[in-house]
Amino acid sequence: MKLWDVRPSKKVKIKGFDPLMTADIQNRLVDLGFCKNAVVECVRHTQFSGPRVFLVNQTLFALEKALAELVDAEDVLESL
Amino acid sequence: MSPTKKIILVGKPNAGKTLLFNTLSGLNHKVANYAGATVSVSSGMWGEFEVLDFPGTYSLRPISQDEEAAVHQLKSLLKGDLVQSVICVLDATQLERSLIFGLQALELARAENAPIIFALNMYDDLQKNKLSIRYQELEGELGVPVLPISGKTGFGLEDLKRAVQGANLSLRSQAVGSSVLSAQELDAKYGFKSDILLKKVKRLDSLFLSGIWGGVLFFGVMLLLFQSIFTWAAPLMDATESIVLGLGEWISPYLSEGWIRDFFNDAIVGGVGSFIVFVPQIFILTFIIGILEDSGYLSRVAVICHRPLRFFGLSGKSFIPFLSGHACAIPAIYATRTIESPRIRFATLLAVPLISCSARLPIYSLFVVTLFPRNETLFGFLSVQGFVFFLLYIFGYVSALVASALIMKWGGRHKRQEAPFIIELPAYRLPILKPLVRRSLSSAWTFFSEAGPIIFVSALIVWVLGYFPNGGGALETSWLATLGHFIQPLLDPLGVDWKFGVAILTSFMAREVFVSTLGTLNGIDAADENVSSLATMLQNSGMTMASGVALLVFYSIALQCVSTLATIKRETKSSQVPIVLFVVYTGVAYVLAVLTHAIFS
Repeated sequence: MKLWDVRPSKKVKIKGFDPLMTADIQNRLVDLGFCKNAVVECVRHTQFSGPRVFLVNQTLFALEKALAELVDAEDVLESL
Repeated sequence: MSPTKKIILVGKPNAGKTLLFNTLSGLNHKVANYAGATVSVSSGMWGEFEVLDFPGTYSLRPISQDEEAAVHQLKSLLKGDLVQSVICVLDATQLERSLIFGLQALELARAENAPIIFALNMYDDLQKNKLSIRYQELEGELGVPVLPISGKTGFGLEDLKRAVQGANLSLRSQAVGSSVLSAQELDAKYGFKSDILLKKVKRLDSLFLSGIWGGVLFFGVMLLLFQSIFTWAAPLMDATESIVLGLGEWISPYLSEGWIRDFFNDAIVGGVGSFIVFVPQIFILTFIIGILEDSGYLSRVAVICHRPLRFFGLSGKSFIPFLSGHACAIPAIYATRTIESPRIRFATLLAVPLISCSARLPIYSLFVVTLFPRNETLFGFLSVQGFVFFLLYIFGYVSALVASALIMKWGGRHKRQEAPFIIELPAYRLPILKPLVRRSLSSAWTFFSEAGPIIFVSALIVWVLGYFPNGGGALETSWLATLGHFIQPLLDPLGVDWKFGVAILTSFMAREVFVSTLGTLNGIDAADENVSSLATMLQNSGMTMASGVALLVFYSIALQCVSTLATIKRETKSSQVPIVLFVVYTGVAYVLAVLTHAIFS
């Protein structure tokens, strides 16, 4: 599952990043808290496929589709 | 004399560093409730120390050129021995997030043997919600002082000062034995366990980011912004106008008749005093934009606008410079530094001058008052003049978006570089009145002090050219008229006479000069304070709707601001870019104005 596909109110665990993502962007995501095994909650989808809002480390971030589609995630329950 | 010791403020974006910096130094640097409000290192004095406010960064691994420059500067400073202390500003409401950067800063400070203090800023927000952090235990875990403070209320600043003053004596020796816990583990161990703050944010986001209401509210806020510029500022503008004219009438009889009195009335009252009337409008504009920035709403607007702006090749972050551009293009150009993608930044930067800035207000006011009746309303409550103003601002956005799309398609030197859109959505906060008013006054003063000399010199030149060689006789035989008649062929397609040509020529230094020049040429003292007199004169002279709208189109697009061109040169590190931009925008402005006149005729 990609982070972009997560439905609102659902929590997932970050599995890793798509190889297409550059190292700079991976580092930035990790700095923001989107690191491997971090639990991320999708808070909101916005209209017209706009950026989606995710909660990580008590902070809300909006990520656009092109980016959230490069983050691999898995259901929190699946990972247990 | 020993060199001044430095205190360095670092932290993640939007941790409140600049508010703390302003409180410590007594300065008035821009603060805002969105990540990236500070784009360069600021300096001020706090007692015997120099305080350096670094731009917020999510990590010491920079991904943009500006972050890289800031991190490099920080590392260089730490290598020297002038650092009294590093204050790592943590957002107490987001402990885990703040500690991710904080632990990196701690590691760096220890590597360089520099004293570091952790300041838990916005602690008052926790206290208000009956929350707390076990900061004394955290201090023991990390081996460095951890102090709860509030840059907003001043809470804890005395303790911070004492810690800083004692920093060199004690902290270097404390820099031993660090925690091996991660930010997440430290937060779990010492942080608060409630999600009450988050719930509040989510509740408000469900309104401001919702599909229908989010759009309606956004449109309403923008409409309110432009209505307020026109309607709320009116009484203040009238009062300013009365004061300036009254002063002129009071002083004038004491001056000897002849060129001295003429010079005072036309060049001083009519020139220097001419733009003062717009200071209240700029204050109100900056004040309302400040409320949007400080409340946290602007980041939501970036999210709402991202998809529409993407259509033109831009990002939601481009909206923040665009909105700042309403006050002045120069800070808006600096604000583009927060856009990570060089290509999008370049396109945004070049499009910013098309956003209707405060210097265009006098011209818009003149033609709106001339062409549209004052008391007419739409739907019984919307002022027609205010609505036309709104349309003019929308036109500025449309022009900027079209220009951006063209630049993204064909222009720029960064075609292969792209950075994705990620934006932090900060907590909603009530704006603090005092810094907001100070910031708005500062913007109004900047407009007055920077535009004033240019307007004065321009008014002086216009006055000399119009007064001589016939010593204040018929204007038609002056040097100014000769110049105006020379460019008349260019003005014929716009349906205006040589006086407008002269006003356009003089406004190439700064567009605000247009109205005062036109006033001087028509024998109206202080035309800018007295827009209605000039408007009445233009109505009586038979100015057509076609010519008025054509000139509005011309001034909406033409790039007539030397300071903006100089800033673009500095930010793009190119002399060619501002020259090309000036030629293209002015050329397009003229062609569109001619077409507009033809259509409306």
